[in-house]
Amino acid sequence: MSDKTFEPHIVGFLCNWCTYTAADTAGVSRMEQPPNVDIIRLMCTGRIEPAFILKAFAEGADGVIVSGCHPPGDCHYNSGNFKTFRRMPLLERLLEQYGIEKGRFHWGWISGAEAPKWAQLTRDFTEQVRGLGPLDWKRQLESKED
Amino acid sequence: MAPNGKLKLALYWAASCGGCEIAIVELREKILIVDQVADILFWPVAIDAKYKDVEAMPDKHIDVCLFNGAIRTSENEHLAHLLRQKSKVLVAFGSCAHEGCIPGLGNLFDRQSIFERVYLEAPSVDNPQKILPQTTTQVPEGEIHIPKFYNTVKTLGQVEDVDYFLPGCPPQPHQIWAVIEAILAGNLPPKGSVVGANEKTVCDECKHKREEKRIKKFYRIHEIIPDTTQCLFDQGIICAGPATRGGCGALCPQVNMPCRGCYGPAPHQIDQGAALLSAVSSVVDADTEEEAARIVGEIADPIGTFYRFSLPSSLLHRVRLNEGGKVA
Amino acid sequence: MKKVSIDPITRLEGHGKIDIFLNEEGDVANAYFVVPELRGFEKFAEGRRVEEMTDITPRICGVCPEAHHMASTKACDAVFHVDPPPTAKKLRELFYSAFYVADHTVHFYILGAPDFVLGPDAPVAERNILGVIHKVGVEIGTKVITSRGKAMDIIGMLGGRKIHPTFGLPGGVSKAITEEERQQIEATAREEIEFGLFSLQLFRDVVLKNKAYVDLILSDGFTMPTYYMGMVDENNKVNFYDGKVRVVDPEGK
Repeated sequence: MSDKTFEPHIVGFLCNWCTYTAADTAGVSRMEQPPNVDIIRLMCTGRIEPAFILKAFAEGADGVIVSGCHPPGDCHYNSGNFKTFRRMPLLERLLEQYGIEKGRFHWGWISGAEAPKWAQLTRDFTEQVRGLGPLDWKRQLESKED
Repeated sequence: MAPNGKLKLALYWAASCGGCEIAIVELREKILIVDQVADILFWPVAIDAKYKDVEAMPDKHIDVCLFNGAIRTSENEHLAHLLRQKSKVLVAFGSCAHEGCIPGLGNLFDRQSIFERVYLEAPSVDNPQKILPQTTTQVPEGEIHIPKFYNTVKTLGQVEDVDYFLPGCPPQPHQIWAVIEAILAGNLPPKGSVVGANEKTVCDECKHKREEKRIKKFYRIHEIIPDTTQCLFDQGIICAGPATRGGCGALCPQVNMPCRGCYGPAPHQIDQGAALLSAVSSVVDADTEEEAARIVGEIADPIGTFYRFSLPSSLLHRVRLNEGGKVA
Repeated sequence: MKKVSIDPITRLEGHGKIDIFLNEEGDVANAYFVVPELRGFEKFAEGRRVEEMTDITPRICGVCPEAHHMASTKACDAVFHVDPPPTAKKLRELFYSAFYVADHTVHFYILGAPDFVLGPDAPVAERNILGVIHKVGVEIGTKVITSRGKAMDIIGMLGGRKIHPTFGLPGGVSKAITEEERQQIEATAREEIEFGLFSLQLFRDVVLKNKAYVDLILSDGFTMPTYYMGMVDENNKVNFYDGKVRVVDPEGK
């Protein structure tokens, strides 16, 4: 067990038009990415209910990424990303109150043309979450009830 | 049904305040009808039956058990299992049993920090020997036992198989009566349903006028004098109405106080606090990230506001514990 | 030693049990009152918005939520260093007085009356409010229910929910009353005075005229001399909302 490195389990909520396209390009272009990020494609980050992120953590994610089109003008649906930047800061504060460190949740904007930025994010964020250790929410809940 | 044709009813309170009991008393003269159609076998607030009387009952002897209160201690859990065994129908009655309610805020902390505050630090406590509760205490005459205080508060549904959920803190008397009538008529929905509430949100019953929401600033209840005909949320007061199941009659907005969410999540919402967070932040009137962050940054205590009643039933259930089982 | 547990104790708000240890002769060696519940309000209130204490602390007790509501409202006044306007104070006093009537009706008839009206020899199954109504009759039972209900209606008028009403703000209250409501409340108040006098008379007729009950009440096992503490106004009349603290000894001095 001791020489087994902790492999973070990261969930990424990516919007179809921007970041998902970037991730697709990064993959096709064989840019170096760790295998730790599981991608969930939505049509727009505006579709993301805060409950999705909480559910990801509750079900075992060690880190969560939300990434979509740059505001103000890139959103395919005009203002979906406006909803995102109104929701995410409050969700960050809620997560902190829950005891989930800021470093486990990243939200931002990566356009379809920014594949290298996506690849870099997966590398950086995986290491950042690795440094924080496993969150393993369900198991920590069960094991602390004595 | 008993040989006399009367419904065999039991009511119990776990980690509860007694408000659900008073809600039954608020049936007012209808309590006389209950007396005619039911035998109350167990109801600690009002009748003298004891735990041993319940233990002596055959399995499934009780027709309907209305169980209120959250599961905070081993005694609460024991009674949940006992009453499930002895009852045909088990109803999670009220917000504590349904979603955790106010005692659920204990999940912001842990057993040790709660004990230390209550028995050592609170200003009016006199405890020079620093005695904390123990499940077994030796006294000269023998042993005294108290239940174990769990580290985490749970809902009834998280420890036992529940047939129906009747929400509210407390459930409103007219809703309780509607459920009793349904029970007497044998007219209950499928197992697992929420009863005694409607399929919409509190906003649907609220008499305030709703217009487009564009919030530039959030106000705490004492920071403005609201227009009493207009939606409180429109005016910047955080109201849980959009994230709360309806059926109570929207009583709190009628006296110009915001809904706090005591009827639990609206239908199809998997996490009440997250739904409210989303509702509150989505309508912030900000077209830049900085402005949005500034406006929502003024909201004090997100977890205690959005999860006031629903923390144990939420997706994450409680605040994270460190290796020692304590809040970090 | 043999232990007899009364578990749970009943006809009160709260959880409790009594452990009685019997010696070899079968006499009581000692008895312990045990409290098997705790929820931790003292701790989880930390970090919450102070004005929300008026909605959190009432959940300490659903029989007397108004007491916690008013105490936390007054604490909020102190925290914000504000003195409510006279109308707000009057409305708070009205709210609290209506609560007092409803609450004492519950205690008198539902929690306490089964012991006094039915007596200690009554069968367990009868020793409750339904047994009381069976004995005194549906008419009196309905009168009790209606009178309590009218006091609760006043609470609902001011606090929305009748149980866990929400009404107090730092420095004031959230709801005013109309002249029509004021007249309704005044009429109710006069009816409640009649009901109070009726209840006292009932106690005289049913309990005090029964020698066996009186002997029981005055006996050692049922008497506990205590001091009494409450609030009075400048005329030394009781005021449940605010005033000077007055303490009276077991003899009433």
